Amino acid sequence: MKKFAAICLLIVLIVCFAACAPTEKTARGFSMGSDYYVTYTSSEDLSAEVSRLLSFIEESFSARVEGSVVSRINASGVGTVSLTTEESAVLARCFALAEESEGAFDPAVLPLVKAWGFDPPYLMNGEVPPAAQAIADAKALSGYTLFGFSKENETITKTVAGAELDLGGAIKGYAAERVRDLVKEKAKTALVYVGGTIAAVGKSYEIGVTPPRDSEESFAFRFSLKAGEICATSGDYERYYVYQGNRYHHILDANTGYPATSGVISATVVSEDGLLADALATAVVVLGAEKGVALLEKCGAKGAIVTSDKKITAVGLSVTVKDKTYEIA
Amino acid sequence: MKSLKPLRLFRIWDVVLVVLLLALVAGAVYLAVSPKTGANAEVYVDGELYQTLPLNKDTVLDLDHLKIVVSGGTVRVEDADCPDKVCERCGAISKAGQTIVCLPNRIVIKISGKGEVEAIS
Repeated sequence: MKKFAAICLLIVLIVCFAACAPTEKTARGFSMGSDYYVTYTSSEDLSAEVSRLLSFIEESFSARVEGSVVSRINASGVGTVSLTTEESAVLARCFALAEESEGAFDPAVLPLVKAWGFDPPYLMNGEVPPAAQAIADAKALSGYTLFGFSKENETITKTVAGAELDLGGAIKGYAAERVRDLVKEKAKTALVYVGGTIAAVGKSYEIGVTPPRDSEESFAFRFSLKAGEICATSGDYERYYVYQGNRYHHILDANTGYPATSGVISATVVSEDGLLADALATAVVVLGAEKGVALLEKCGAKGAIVTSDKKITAVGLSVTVKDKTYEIA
Repeated sequence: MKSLKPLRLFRIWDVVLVVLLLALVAGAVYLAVSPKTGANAEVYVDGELYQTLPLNKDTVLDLDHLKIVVSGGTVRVEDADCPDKVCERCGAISKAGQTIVCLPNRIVIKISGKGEVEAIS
């Protein structure tokens, strides 16, 4: 009987362990104009914490949320706005990347985004490009050089009335980075997805990249995102319209005032720095393949750049092609 | 001969234990690796699973702001009342991991199942 009792106890213990063991959970929702989800293995439920963190980031940095620092700067006239330490740190990183990429990534192109109708709810102008004068007017109000940023004083100064910031090209990367840092303390493994920007926690994940042109496949190629890394993808296929045979998309070049025409149709950037990965994905679409590769190398990032001839240039990344209409350059 | 009886009892419970453990392990392994047969379209509203639609059964799910149409093994959105119609422009999806997102109505449609990749950037 003793043996029987011991075996029963053992089975009960095994079942208890199985019940208490970390299980796979998913937290889902919407933030920063995108859907997000975090699939994680933990004994704790992290959904409320993730949701709170993303709401905080959106309320702090979205140009579409009244009271955010970006909205306060945009609503103000010429003058100086004081920043919190976190706001200053995020803006410092954005402005540094704008300089590093010579304006290919620019956190101050909202007037152009609005002129082109890519501000949500987007395409409200109809699917017609704006008049040349409207583009010129918006271009005069766009560009990070219209702002003076002081990291020491934690202030930003607007030098031209009407200039506006929009961190949309970098904030999802920052959000993915913050969520990664939150969940890695409490989850063994996690996949963090914020509107297409993805972070891997605790193990590698296989990531597919959206085919930038019509495809039979759900992804053009795949690669392995290592634990701690974040990837972001930008392309001319996300928000666009075709007018008189030309494609007008949402990645705008502040140096010309028009959508980028560099020949890059999709850029994926991988780095442990999420804000950098997100910002550089945009910058590479603006710069083109050759300058894009140089920028990634200079910043110590990895990536995969797809050009309009459907050639993939991999930078420090091993990619496996799925859609055979694409090939490695 | 006296010592044989307890030995036999031990053997029986030993076998029972091993069989139970094996069954547990086999069950766990099956759950972990079993392919999710028959792809489904999972419809999430505001982050919560609202309905699961099998792709092998043609149907129309009429939500307040849009219609979700399952037809010929694919799923698409029709008659969305949002201004940008991004969800309709996505067209029909059918492969594991593909999604259609309607931001204004906070609806996500995701094809379930394990594909070659774990997420799409």
